[in-house]
Amino acid sequence: MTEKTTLERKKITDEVLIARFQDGDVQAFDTLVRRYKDQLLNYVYRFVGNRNDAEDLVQETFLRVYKNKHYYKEIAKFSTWVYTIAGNLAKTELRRRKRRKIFSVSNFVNEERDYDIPDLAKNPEAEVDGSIKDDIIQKAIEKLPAKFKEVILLRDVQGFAYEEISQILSIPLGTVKSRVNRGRLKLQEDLRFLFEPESKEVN
Amino acid sequence: MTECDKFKALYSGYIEGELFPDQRKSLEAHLSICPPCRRALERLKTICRSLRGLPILTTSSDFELRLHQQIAHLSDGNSMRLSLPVHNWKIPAFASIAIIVVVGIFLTLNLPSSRSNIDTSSRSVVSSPVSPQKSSGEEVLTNQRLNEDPSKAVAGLPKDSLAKDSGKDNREDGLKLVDEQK
Repeated sequence: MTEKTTLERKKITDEVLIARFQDGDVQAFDTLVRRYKDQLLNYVYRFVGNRNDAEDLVQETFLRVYKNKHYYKEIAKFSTWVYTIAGNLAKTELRRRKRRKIFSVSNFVNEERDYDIPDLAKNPEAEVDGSIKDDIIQKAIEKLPAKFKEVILLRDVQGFAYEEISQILSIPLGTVKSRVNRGRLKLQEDLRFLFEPESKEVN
Repeated sequence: MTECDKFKALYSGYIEGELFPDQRKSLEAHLSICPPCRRALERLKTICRSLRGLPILTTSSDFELRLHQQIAHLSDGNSMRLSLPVHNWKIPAFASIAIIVVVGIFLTLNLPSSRSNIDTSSRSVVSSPVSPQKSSGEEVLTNQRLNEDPSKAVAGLPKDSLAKDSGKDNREDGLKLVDEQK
């Protein structure tokens, strides 16, 4: 891809592309898919914790965009719309899993056993492998309540501005900021052993 | 709520430079005298850095192909829905049959009035010279009228055959006449 093509592509905003798609230009839809598929996968994967499920949900997100293209109005950004769809699908999946879990045997198993915490107390000098650390952080994110998880993912992983998060989730700006702070505090408490294994004080 | 808890609410704003000057000064003053809060704030900064540094996943190589296949299937589904009325003939067929049955029942229920006309006619032929004999031609005409327009057919019938009771009266009259004849 030449630099000119890249620049040309960047000039074409998402809103122009969706407008073209609404007029029947399917290639515009393909461009939007290429732009958002990885971002959405990262968002949904961090939400649901399963790669295959996440890809299916992202596929479903684009299918809904395809089917419901005429529902998009340019009062909000396209990214707001597509992330709203993806987030709702992810939350629905988690609710579905929760209902299924009620009837499963694992209900009687202590969930904490699923959480593999390296025994840093025995060997504090040992450096935690980068990939293990990422896995531990991912598990901690999955354990967050949904209302904290979604704002943390949108803010700290996806890099959205507070205002857009407020639009995506349809919650007030103040609530977004409050939840981001509380989500971060929860994570730092849960992951204290990871970043400060010798810490003994209790906040 | 402890003093430390109150300042925890300001951590994210402080990290992102969104606090008012007086809030920032107040927090910094607290941090200078509270090592646990200093450590908590440092952990928060580290968490934010770690989250930004999480590995970025990419979709599988056949992601777009599978999506296009699903879209094609979607389009097929729409075309199937368009042809649904042609393929799903059973519903209109059963509905038609039901209508025919109802109409048939309706007509059948109306038939006794023509049958009673025929019966009345035959009785009047046998036992009552009072009412004029109906020729078979007239009966046929009456039946034809029934088939064309029930209301007209009824209008065309002799008065004494319109109601069941009239038939009864005719019988009674007929019996009387027979008795008289005897």
